[in-house]
Amino acid sequence: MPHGPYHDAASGVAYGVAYGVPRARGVTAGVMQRERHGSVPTVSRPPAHPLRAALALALLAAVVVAGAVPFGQLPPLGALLDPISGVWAVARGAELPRSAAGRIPRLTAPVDVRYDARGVPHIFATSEEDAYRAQGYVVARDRLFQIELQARAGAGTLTELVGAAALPLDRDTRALGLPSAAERSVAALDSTAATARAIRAYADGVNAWIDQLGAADLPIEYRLLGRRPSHWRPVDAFHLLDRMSYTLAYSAEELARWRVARLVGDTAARALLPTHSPIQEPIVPPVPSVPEPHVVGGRLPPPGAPGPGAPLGGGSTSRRVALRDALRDALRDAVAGEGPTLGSNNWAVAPRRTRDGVALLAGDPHLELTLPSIWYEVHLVVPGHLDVEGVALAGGPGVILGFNRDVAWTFTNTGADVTDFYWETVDDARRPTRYRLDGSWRPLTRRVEVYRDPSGRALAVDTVRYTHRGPLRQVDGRWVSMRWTALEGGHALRTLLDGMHAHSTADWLRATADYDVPAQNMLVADRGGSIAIRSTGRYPLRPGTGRGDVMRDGASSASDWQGALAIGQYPTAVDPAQGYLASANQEPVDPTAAGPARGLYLGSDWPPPWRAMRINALLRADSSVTPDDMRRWQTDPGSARADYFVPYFLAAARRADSAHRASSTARAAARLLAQWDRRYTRDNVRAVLFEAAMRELTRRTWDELQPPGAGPRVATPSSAVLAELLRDSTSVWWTEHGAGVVGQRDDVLAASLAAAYDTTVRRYGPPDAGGWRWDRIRHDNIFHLLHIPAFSRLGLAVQGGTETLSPSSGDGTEGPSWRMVVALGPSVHGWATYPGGQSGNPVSSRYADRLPGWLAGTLDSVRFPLRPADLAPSDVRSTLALEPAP
Amino acid sequence: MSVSPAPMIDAGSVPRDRPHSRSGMRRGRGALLLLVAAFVLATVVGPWWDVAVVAFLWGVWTARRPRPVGEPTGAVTAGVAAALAWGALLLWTATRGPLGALVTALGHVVGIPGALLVLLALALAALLAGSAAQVGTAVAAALGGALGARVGVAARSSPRPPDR
Repeated sequence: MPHGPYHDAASGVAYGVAYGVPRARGVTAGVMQRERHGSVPTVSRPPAHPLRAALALALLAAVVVAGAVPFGQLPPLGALLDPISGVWAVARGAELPRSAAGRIPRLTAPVDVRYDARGVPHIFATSEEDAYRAQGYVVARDRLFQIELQARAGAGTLTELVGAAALPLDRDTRALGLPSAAERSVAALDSTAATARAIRAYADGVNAWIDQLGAADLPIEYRLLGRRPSHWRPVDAFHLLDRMSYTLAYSAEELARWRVARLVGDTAARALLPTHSPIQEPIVPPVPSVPEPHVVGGRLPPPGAPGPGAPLGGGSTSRRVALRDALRDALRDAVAGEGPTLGSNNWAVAPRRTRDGVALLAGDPHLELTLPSIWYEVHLVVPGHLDVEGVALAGGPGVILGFNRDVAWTFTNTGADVTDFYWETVDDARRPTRYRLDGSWRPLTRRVEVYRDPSGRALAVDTVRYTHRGPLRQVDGRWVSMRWTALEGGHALRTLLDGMHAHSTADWLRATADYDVPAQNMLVADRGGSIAIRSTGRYPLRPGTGRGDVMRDGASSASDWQGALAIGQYPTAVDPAQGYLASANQEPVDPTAAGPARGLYLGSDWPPPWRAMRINALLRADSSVTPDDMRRWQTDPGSARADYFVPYFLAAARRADSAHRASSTARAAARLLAQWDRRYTRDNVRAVLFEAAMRELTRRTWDELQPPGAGPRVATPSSAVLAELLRDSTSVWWTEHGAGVVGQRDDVLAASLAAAYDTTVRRYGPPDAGGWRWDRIRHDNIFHLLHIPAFSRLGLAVQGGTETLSPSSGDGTEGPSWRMVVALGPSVHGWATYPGGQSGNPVSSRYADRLPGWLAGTLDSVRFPLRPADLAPSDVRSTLALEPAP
Repeated sequence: MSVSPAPMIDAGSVPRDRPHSRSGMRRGRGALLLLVAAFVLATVVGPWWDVAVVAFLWGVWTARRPRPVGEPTGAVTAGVAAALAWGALLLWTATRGPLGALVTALGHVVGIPGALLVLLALALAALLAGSAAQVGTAVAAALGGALGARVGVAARSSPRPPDR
């Protein structure tokens, strides 16, 4: 008998293999028979072969186990690959349906949501709380994973979502005291107050979406992690804001200065990390006016005798946090030779300097760039009460930066010093329980922090101790407590929600007067033509010199803060004579200028004012500004930094050449640098040489800040300090200790330029072979929140470089996060974009649809309908009808 | 040199010569379609392992009836049907969203060609259903044998020599 599985006994011909599936031996053992009905030849079933049955059972078990048990870093394959509820469903949820409906508990009336062509939801509600409920719903619909991840980052509970890999981050967050601060903030809220109601309403919306999640709605990140979303709690909004405060308002200048002092002495340390910017281009225009930026610094004092202190160390959690603080900037500077790009620009122009005679405002906050973006664009309408368009933090109610029918506003970070550190005396160097204050021992408050994995298993336990000032930690073997306004805040959200209702700049400034942290340079303009800026935040008042950039003695309560600056003393400018206002994180007030803020300590080691200088130069040169000018300037490739430094390099090379001391390399480098137009355009082939020269100059100049032995510089003075030093050609700082010779400025400049040429040729080939093109060298990298490369957009060629208006430096992960231009005419018109898209779904067309425009420097026209019918049908991508849940 | 066209394989040609088996295959296809529908339904309404439940029941059922010639075993049918069902659901997904982009992205995430992930899904369904059906058949045969011996109907479920 042939060994065909379906052997026709009548013909004796084997049919072959049905469906192409190999036959099984057991079947061939069966015997054919004819059934009476239908005269179909049949095969009677063989008896169950024990071995075969056992094999089948084993295979079934293996497949079930393989489907149910996590595989490596992947979740269980069965649920993941299920074609209905598995990862494939992400494709079905990628795009907005033409229409949809949802229900939200405690919604008081139906809410009409129209998504426009840009994917922006226009929320038409009948009460403000309903608007926030709808906002929570639509944000969760687009960004559910992001809002949980960000809230957990602020709560120090990332391990519960992503596992043990996040343990170091969570430990840092909790050691800083952020979670307990958020809990205090929410506990302190008056539950009947508008802010509390807004946060609760927002949570209602988020949780309504979570409770209605369909198979296609679960974000891909949850599927890959094998997790489900957690319900949103009001405290999560504070976790998010506190995390933002950490990004923008946490500084450890005292520690940096202390480390510098240990190497070069206290006097030099104060000069290298100065209280006031050596180059002044303040936010508040000086009166009487000082039209040009000017250098206010003098000669830098020489390095002195090293100060006292223990060597740098590490080990415990608290020490690791401190060490990270010190190394974070140092490492970045050492690698990139440049400052961070975390900064922002904003400017406003009064009607008399604009072409159309209306006030114009431009905003451009620079933050970490991620996919999805930190921002979510939304339009909230409550007729007769609220009508605001702009961006919200994904995870918080309201609009942070944007405009209403009368007023537009935007922020840059003030960078105020709102963090202080105190040397503490404790009773036990290893496990302190008490600290010394005014001659007596005070108990330390202890908070036990337990870190859990997604299954609830404890991964680690820390004890964070607190003095009356704040969390205590070990720095280089000594106990240090920290006081930080972010741990005592809580008014930011209320004031920002109030500001959305303003009808004028005065209204807006009044509404935000209590804003506390992170301090922001709040720029505002209105339809009446008024423009204003105020560096708003809670500025602590310290005893003695008032400085916050020095370590203080924790054993005395006399070291404690003595209150906060009165709002009348905040750096403020309203309708200045010059007709424009601009800020770019520079020192707000010229310390030499008259005014209520004169002599006040607001911070130190300010970012160099190169961007502010460039903006002001552009604004000064144009008295007929248009919205398109504003847009173009946001990506202006010019560089005040290059304008300052290039002439010094060229002059040094020229002098070396005249003295017959220039090598052929130095001459070639100088020739190439002289060809540069000092613009960071994509096709530029000289900017790379300048950047390399600046890195070399920084490295050679600040070699005194290199600790003995290996390791990065303990700190890098700003390029404004370097600019100040350039004025002193014989300063002892030009001595290269490694070279063992007393040098001069021009020697260091020429040597830096020559070395930069060698480095650049080595890395990128000959100058004109194409390898020096800026777009082949300088890239932005926008990572997905989990750093999954497939969901990221990496290696993006951009226009801009270090300290240009659209800055790009370092690892390219920070930059302009929301570009907006608003014209405040008879009606308000806005243009805006951000690097990313509204959806958090990586395969959605709305995930990164704004990226090409952002890269090209274009802005989208923002739809700002008064009522739903004002949106043309062709402009409506999708509708969402929200109803009260029964 | 002339080359004669390759012989076309006509699915209908074989049964045309073998009317009995054609009927069997038609039945087999009908059963297959029914099973595909059952797997689709099970996947839509239940978790992924519902496929195994359906296949097990299928295995039990097929163990109880004679198999027409031309119809594959219950396990094979179940495996193929499950793969077809999941494949059909993935095709449906492709009409509802950017599945291709998702497959590519997922491939990058796990470090293999995305198409392999699709094949893995189909293989998972096929193996799950095939093995479950086989277990169902074995269980039914074992139980049926025991039961049949007790009630005297063992002959119905026992192999019998062909009626020739």
